[in-house]
Amino acid sequence: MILLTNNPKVSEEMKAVNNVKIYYYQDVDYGGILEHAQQLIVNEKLILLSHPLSGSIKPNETYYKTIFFSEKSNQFIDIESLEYIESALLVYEKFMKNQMRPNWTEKILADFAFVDLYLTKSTLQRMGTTYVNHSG
Amino acid sequence: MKLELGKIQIQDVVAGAEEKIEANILYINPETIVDIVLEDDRLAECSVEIAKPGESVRITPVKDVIEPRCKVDSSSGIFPGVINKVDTVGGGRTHVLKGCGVMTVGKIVGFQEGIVDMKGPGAELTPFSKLIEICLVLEPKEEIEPHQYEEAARFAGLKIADYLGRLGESIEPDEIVTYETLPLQEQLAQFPELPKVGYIYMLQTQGLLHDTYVYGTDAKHIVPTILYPTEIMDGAIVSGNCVSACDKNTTYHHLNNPVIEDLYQKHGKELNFIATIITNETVYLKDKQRSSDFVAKLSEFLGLDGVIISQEGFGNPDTDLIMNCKKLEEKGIKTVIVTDEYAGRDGASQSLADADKLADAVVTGGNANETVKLPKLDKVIGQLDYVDVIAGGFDGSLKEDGSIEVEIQAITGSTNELGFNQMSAKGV
Repeated sequence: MILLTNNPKVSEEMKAVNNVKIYYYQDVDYGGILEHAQQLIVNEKLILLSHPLSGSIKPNETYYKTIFFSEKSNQFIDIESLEYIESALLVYEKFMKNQMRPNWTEKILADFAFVDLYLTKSTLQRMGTTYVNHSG
Repeated sequence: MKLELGKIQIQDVVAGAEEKIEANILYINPETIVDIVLEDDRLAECSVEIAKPGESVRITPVKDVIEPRCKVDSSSGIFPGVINKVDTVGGGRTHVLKGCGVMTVGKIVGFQEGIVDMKGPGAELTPFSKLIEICLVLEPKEEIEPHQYEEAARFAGLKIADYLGRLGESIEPDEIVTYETLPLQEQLAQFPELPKVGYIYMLQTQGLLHDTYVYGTDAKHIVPTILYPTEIMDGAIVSGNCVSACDKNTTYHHLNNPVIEDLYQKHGKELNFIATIITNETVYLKDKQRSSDFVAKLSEFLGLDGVIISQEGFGNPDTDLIMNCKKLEEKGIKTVIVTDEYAGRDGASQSLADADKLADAVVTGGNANETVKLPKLDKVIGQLDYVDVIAGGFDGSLKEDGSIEVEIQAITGSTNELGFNQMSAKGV
């Protein structure tokens, strides 16, 4: 499967997981990851495996986002995946219009990265992929 | 299954050397409480503070609230599978200390826990301002990770609620309320002329710091199943959720679920309350399909005519809510959904992250983006400097004069999606 992420903790820790390819974009925010996800669905015809609004932290609060995709391309664009991502983009824009994301401190950003990493680990567990932390 | 709930009205909480309940006053010993909490070596410090309704006190960051309860003359205990044996609960007799709560206070992940004001406009938005709060202000050991601290804080609150609840075991309650649900065939036969109604109880289960536990097991790994509603009153469901203070179901909410309470009130009069079906809110799309299919299948199997579906949290769970609603409606089972809204500060935007035309009966807990100005209060329990980074706060939320301007999503329980709050919208 493919992990699309802007979270350095996910990129670092998930390297060790079998059968996981990481698409890591360190310079984009939550919205940028949603846009990359849309491109993967439309251009690469990949299928979404996780909900793009995973976690109940609001899109105008957290900076980090990790989204799971199937590795295999479809013949056609997966309409369900497209609907999920378009709906998530609308929600993202609504929240950012209501209140821009504050300029967080490093400590808070680290907390957000932790939460995104935890959700990623839990989702991998649900998918039946054993997560092994080789860093100890 | 039949549960007698004996309510002991606690009118005051007094800290001292004695531990007892006498003349509706709960006497607690903070030293004993601290000793029990610090048995967990993941916690470095604990202090006990009492906050009463109407006092000029702000409590933040609030993690969980738990109502003290105990089983009476029973080998089982509340919160089974977590701090007591994993015995089936929900029958026999339970005593509850009404009017007070054990509140765990401490920063888990720096930005998601909520505010509870005991006085002023903020107090109007949370049910917890009406309780005498026994606050456990916690500090973790430095080296532990946030999810380990969350677990330690969760256990601390549950252990103290269990410990204080036991002080009520031999006290004669002020009131006893009996709740009963029969095995399915008998329940169907009891009120054959009334519509058969179920409750679909969605639990927050997106991952670490977003979890809920059922008899101690992590609910993201369950397929939907059936509980007698009284099991929930004995602590079969506990909260491990640390995000989105306004629409988080604390353990107190689970113990006092108003949907269950109201369905029992109408049971045998307007409807036949058959069962509670618990389900989850997951991130993996395959799990969403499996769980919503199971909800629809179980509801059909039970022969339900209608259901109430409640939600917890924002965004991704909106999809589970709508999937449950749609699949049930397509089977001819009427639905009412209970949710809250993120409709922008002016309330003009789309409220949910998902929608369907079959979701045509909705109860809202309010718009979480509304703002409120909270005046300075005399005392803070916890840490006020986190208000700027609490969900619903924003840069400059904390003013120099000590007042705070926040969206109401920063206030614990303000837009609760079980309906355990005052706010709603009414219309036709």
